Amino acid sequence: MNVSFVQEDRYTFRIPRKGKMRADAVFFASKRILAHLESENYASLVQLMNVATLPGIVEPALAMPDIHWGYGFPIGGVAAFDPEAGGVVSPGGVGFDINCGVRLLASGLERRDLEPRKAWLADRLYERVPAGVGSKRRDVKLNRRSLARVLEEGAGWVVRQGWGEADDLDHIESGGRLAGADPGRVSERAYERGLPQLGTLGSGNHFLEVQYVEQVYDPEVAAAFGLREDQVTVLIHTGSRGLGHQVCQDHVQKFLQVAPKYGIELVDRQLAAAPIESPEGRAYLGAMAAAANYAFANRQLITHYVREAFEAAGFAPRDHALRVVYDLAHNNAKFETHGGRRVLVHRKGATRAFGPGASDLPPAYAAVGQPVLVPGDMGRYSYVLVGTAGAMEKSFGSSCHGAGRVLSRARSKKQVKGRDLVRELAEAGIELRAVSRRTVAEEAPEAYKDVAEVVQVVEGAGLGRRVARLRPVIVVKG
Amino acid sequence: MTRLRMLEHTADVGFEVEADSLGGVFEAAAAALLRVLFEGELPRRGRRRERLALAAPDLETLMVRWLDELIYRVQTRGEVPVRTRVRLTAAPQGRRLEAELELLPFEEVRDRFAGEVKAATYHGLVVEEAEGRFRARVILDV
Repeated sequence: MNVSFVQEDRYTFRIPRKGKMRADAVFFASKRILAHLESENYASLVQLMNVATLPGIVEPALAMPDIHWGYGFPIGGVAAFDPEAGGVVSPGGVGFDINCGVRLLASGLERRDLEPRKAWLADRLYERVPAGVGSKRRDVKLNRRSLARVLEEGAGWVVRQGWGEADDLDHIESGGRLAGADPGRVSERAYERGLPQLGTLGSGNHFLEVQYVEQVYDPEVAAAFGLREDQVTVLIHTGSRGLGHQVCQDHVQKFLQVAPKYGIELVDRQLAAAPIESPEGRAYLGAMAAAANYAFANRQLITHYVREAFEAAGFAPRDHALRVVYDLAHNNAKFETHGGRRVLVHRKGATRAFGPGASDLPPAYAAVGQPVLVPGDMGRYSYVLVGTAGAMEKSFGSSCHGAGRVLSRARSKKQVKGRDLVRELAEAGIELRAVSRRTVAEEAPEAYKDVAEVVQVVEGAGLGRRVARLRPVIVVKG
Repeated sequence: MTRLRMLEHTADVGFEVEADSLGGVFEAAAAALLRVLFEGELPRRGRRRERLALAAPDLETLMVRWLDELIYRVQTRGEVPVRTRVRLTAAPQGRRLEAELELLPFEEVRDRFAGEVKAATYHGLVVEEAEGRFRARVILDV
């Protein structure tokens, strides 16, 4: 495909506005990432250019270095829209898994404490955190009324039931509750799908990982986050499950019907959009916030069961001392102020990366910036970064959300055929528990970019700074 | 004759299906969805039959609704549509789909489950007739 861009500095590339684009597009990449983009015939950059055609976009449309081809918006896409300038909201800019995100827990344990009980803990986690399709929590009984409370109150509802600590809520993006949630905008089918799934992991790239801090790059910020070398940590990656998928489905269909009424020309139907200040736009934002709250509550409930699993594996609460470092969203749309304008920032496969002094940060992190959690793949490592002033200036306070795939699921399976990945990972010191062998093959480490490469670009472009690297020791996959 | 081809997509999963009739394309799309959800061959006969009717303003929207409906049945109702028979007719404001589903309890095929599908997307979606054959191309968010 014909995509022309200019290199602005070592890691920043600009696609000047052309055709129906209303803004320039900017992406961050290294030479190697650029080669990946070329190998997929720049399909994800074309998607980024499509995003730039939407009304009311505030320049530029952005893509993080983990960009890859998605549907509608590219994965790694960030775009801000001004409600005062006819800006739109697009469910395709949030994705089907609304508020899919990650939560990092830090423990009081060291790697050597874990080693003798590693396999035992892996089994307890696998038992207590349901994963895969049809997975249900039989021990959490929700009815429609209590689910509506979850949609309104998010993680706070879970904590008030006794499944968590009040302090957990202070370390979640937006306190674990997105404002403006309107459970009345969530369809009956979405309720039906959400009722049995709260506290479940799902499948695909969702996971639960126990890790240890392998390296600290910035001792001062690491101390502010409560992280130190050899410390055991837990990363939880999941979202709003079927409830969020249904909210997205319902509203894409509605937006496709109303887009012509608002004069919105769609170059890709998955970019279906409506003005932020329209009845349809407000209805989606109310439903989206409700689904986001479900996702915050989901990660909170899983946190409770992770704590239980550690206790079942013989670690007393005062020893494991699991506490939330941070919980952030990969897929959402939020009202924020950037450059003095109140805008709706869509992040799809991207993470908020607010720098020091920004609003909406836990007091403990206000002086250093927010933790930015960047999962890698199950065989290598993940990173903790810190948000920077550079991100506030260049990317609407955003950063990458992970490594980004380089192999399709089919190619990944083909590539690992005949290999015993479970054994390979065990030999590398990683206990893997998975519902589906196919998911394991699809999620093989080589299916992803080396996350270190992505993080290098983020740091080089000034969108975040490395704080620590985490090495997996237990992986639970759906 | 029906043809089914899985497509490479970096993040998601896609397929192209071809059939002699429009109903056949929707049946083939259901089969392609099952191929994403399960490994190996599934039993061809269900334990329970159910009728389903959907309507949409155009064929593409109908395809998305059809696949999303089947995903919902597998994931929430725990029933796998191992066989579908589909008939399409004109509706006052678009197209109507009537289907008979043969459903198998998910528990009976759980060991072959391969991973969740979130939804069918509109990205690059095509449902068309060309030279007497009917064709669809769909990307699924997995």
